[in-house]
Amino acid sequence: MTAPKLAWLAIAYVLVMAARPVVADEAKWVRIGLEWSVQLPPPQFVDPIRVKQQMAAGCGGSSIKFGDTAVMRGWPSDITWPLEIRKLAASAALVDEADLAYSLLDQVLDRTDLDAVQRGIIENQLILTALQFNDPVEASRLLSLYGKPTTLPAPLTSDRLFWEAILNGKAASPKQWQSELLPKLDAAMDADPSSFQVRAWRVIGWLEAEGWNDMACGDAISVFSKTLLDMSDAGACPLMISHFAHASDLHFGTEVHFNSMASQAIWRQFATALLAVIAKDHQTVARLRQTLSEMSGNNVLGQTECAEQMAIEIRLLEQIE
Amino acid sequence: MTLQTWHSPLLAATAAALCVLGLVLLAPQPRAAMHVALRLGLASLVWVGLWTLAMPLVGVLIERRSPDNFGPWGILAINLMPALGSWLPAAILVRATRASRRQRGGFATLCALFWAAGLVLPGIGQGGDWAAQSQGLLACCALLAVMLGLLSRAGRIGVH
Repeated sequence: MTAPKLAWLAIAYVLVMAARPVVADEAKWVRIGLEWSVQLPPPQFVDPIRVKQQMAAGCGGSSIKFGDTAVMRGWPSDITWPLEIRKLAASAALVDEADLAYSLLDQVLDRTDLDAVQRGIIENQLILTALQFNDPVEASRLLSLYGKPTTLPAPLTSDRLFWEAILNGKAASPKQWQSELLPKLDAAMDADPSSFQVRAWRVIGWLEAEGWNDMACGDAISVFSKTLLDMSDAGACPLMISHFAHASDLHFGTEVHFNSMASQAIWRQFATALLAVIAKDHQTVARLRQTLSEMSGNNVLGQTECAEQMAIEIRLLEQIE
Repeated sequence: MTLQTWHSPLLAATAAALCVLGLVLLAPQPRAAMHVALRLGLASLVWVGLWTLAMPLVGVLIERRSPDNFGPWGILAINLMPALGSWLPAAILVRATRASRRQRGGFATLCALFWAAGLVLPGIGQGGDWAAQSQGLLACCALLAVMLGLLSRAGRIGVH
């Protein structure tokens, strides 16, 4: 091969190579040896804009409500109840015997002057009562009986989807959580975005589904952080964080440090760290970042790479003012 | 041996010198070949030395401009600027002191390529990343080295 041919080959190679895009946003110049190159910003998997917005919003002004049912969350705003129904429902809420409570609410449902919305509300109240009396069999029976008719208002449907998920979740495998229950919770959130409990349980559900097993670390952090930020849309309040921590501890049975499932513990630490960032709890953030860094050096956990990336994410988020 | 190992400049230069020495010993006229090889080595040193000196100047030119304003072509051009600018004096040096006797075909070209591999290669590749621009720069440097070799030969380029 002659020199001119070689030269043409080299030129063609340069043209092809240089045509490939390499520059990303917020890149900077860096000199390495005899070359000026573009240093790309480290990949960030948690949305910093959303974190910043939530930090700025602080503890107030959210449309997300804490309440077991749509009615407790203030829906609908314009409903009125006959006095007799209010008395029966109040009695059902106060009695200590399940059967009596069910009977009182059944009396309400026997009335013929209820419209569709009122009937749906009372049905949901009955399901909630069964759950409050720790009667999952009755709650499941009622859920099957009432179903989710298309005429049912979305906030009431959301509650039913949520209860179905948590009732079936007790004995569900990670695969079932992934394929059946998480989609139910997503649908519940779509039906009623104001429900905090649904948002919180999506986080717990993701941990139950062991979502990190099916994707790369960065992608898993991205998905999990979106779910967490959906929850913390409720406000950067200590109350919100304690709600989540309490529900999480109740559900998983132990405090995170003593959790026997080490890889899940890493994700729970990350969740708390991210929430602490939003709540501007700098001490907790620093402590948890340190914990994640230490976890990243522990090969036993099997999620070392993720823990390292989480620590990086938290450090990047700490720079948000 | 990976390409990254070549980023040890002393090791790379030593390996290049040994390869050139081998070529010289295989040449039919080792004395004349050594002469050419040494001049090419000197020219390559001048090339790399001036290139190194030019790098901060390029840095001054580009530091206030965001890389986002440059496409991949721009970044390659920025790196070609000092490479070409420093190659020209080396080429003039080689041409001015070219051999009085003709050398055989590929000897000078191979010598120049070996020197470039030993002296230039450790400086490019972004620490072993070998991004597209680095590969483009490598191809250009190889071309410049070949031209340096051709220039070192007596007579008109391409005649023999």
